[in-house]
Amino acid sequence: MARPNSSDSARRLIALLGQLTPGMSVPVKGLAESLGTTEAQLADDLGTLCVCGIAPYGPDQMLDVFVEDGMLEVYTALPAVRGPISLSPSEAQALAAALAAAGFSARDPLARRLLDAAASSFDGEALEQTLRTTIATHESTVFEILAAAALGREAVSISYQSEGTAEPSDRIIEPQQLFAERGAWYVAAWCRTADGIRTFRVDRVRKATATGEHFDRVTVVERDAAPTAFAPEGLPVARLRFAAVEAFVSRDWPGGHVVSAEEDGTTIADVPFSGTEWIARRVTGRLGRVEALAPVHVRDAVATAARAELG
Amino acid sequence: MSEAVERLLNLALYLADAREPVTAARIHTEVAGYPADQDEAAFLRMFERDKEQLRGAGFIITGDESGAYTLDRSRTFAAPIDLTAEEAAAVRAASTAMLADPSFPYPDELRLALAKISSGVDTDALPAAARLADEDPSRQGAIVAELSSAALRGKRLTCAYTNSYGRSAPHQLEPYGLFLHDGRWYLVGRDTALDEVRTYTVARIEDLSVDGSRPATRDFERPEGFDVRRFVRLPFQYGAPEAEFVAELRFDSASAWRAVALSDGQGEISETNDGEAFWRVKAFSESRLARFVLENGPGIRIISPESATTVLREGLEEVVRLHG
Repeated sequence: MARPNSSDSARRLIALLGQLTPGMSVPVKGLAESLGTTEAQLADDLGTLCVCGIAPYGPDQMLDVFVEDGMLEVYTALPAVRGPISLSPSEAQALAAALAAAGFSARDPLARRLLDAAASSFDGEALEQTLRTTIATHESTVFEILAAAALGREAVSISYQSEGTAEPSDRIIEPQQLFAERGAWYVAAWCRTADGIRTFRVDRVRKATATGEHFDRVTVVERDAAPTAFAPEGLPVARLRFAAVEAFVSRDWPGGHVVSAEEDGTTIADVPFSGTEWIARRVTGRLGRVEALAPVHVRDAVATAARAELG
Repeated sequence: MSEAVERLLNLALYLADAREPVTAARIHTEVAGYPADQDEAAFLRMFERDKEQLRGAGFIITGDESGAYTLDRSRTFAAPIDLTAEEAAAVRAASTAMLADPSFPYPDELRLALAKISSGVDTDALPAAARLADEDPSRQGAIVAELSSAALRGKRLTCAYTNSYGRSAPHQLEPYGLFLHDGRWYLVGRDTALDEVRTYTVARIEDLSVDGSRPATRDFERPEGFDVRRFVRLPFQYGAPEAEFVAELRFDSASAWRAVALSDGQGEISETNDGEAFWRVKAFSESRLARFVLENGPGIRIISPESATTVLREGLEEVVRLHG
């Protein structure tokens, strides 16, 4: 177990300081979890907090907080503390990096307003010149609506452009979980239109509108496994032949594996796919260096996609 | 340990309460926790450390010429945060996902940031997860934390780097910046032996050691105007410099809305009155450009150069021949 560190304890207490208001009563356990420490450690830290104050250290100058039965109780206003403490440069950097990862750059109104209020001296643009955590560009308002819907269990109407389709389709979904993987954000949802669980890439959602209708169904978040857009279990498999000049790279074909390496340098591989259009597009993009051997409908889809592109 | 925490909190509250600049001598006398019998030199060393710790926690402490200290209240206390429910949920989703991701480099700092802004952000649980980097994420997250700190502080480093041919060699680098791309972290920095700015895959860095001999001094300055975003490349932007060309792509009206997302900030996009979008972008590989167009289509066409349209057409004819 890591040795308690006075600097860490002080920073945790300072982070909490501005949030403590008279009459507040909150479980220490929840606070400890949100701060990434143990309940015992935070209770110990809070024990220190209640003996802190300002000279002459009379009752009116002390922090009137107490831990009892696992609850943090705040009795009176704290001396000298008039609100939340601003973010330190490293805290602002962490928050900006997290927001950028979700598509909220330093120029986005949300990131700008939040960081201007919480860390007025922080230069988000300068950080982005050094550290780029953005993993996909999508409409930030779409992300906001999906996040709020997942939190409030509210059905959302989306206009979604699936891979390989020319026009978006309209669907009603019950967003259950947002996750980022391999350079894109996804929303796992119950799709009322498809009557099943579906995973949608957020950057392919052209428009999202909250319906105001709440749902109770929880279908995705109870799964034990971490969410993934590339789960191969139960998917159909396409058999592909890779020309000698086109190496099979497993990262490019999630869940795929080599079946055989032929003497002429070609490679036969099996690749799971969830959508025929998806695999057809990927094979077509190899410009003849990958051939779909089976199933027939994938071969046909590849030929159709190529003919359509040729016009 | 609790004495040090108590002293720091007392100092924080004292400075927050003071209505006029206060000298170190007064602080020594009036803030509980500084031993009364401590000699001045020892007190000043302890006070300096405490000031730095408070600054590291968000306190803006300024000193004047007379040696008195003031807390800048307008910058130390955050302004009210006014977010819509949707915005608050988005912040919560992004933060929850990053805290669940071992490849996110700043989890502890993010937790403290969230604790400070929690009144402006919905704290209810929101199911969200992330895997920014998918190869040994914990290791990549730890290395990126160290590399980004070195980049921001201008500290030189040494490491072993295994190149794409599997050969490992020692390097001394001046880290300029980091970016994430397609599930991997990359470092951009100057190799001091080669005197070249190169891009390194973080997962291939081992035995990292940052020069800690003069922590407050910068070892190097980045080139003026450096921006790590210029080093992020699309799949068709890898190749020899002499292969560079400018491509123009057209998005039809049904697909034009995706142009900005697909461009990832590269090149220039213009829109026509009839809803089409045109994208002029630097490229190095015609076949990779064709693959990008096909994988992200339909609705995207290569307009120029003609050599790229030929590569695309001939490739498609081969696809039809194989599958027809």
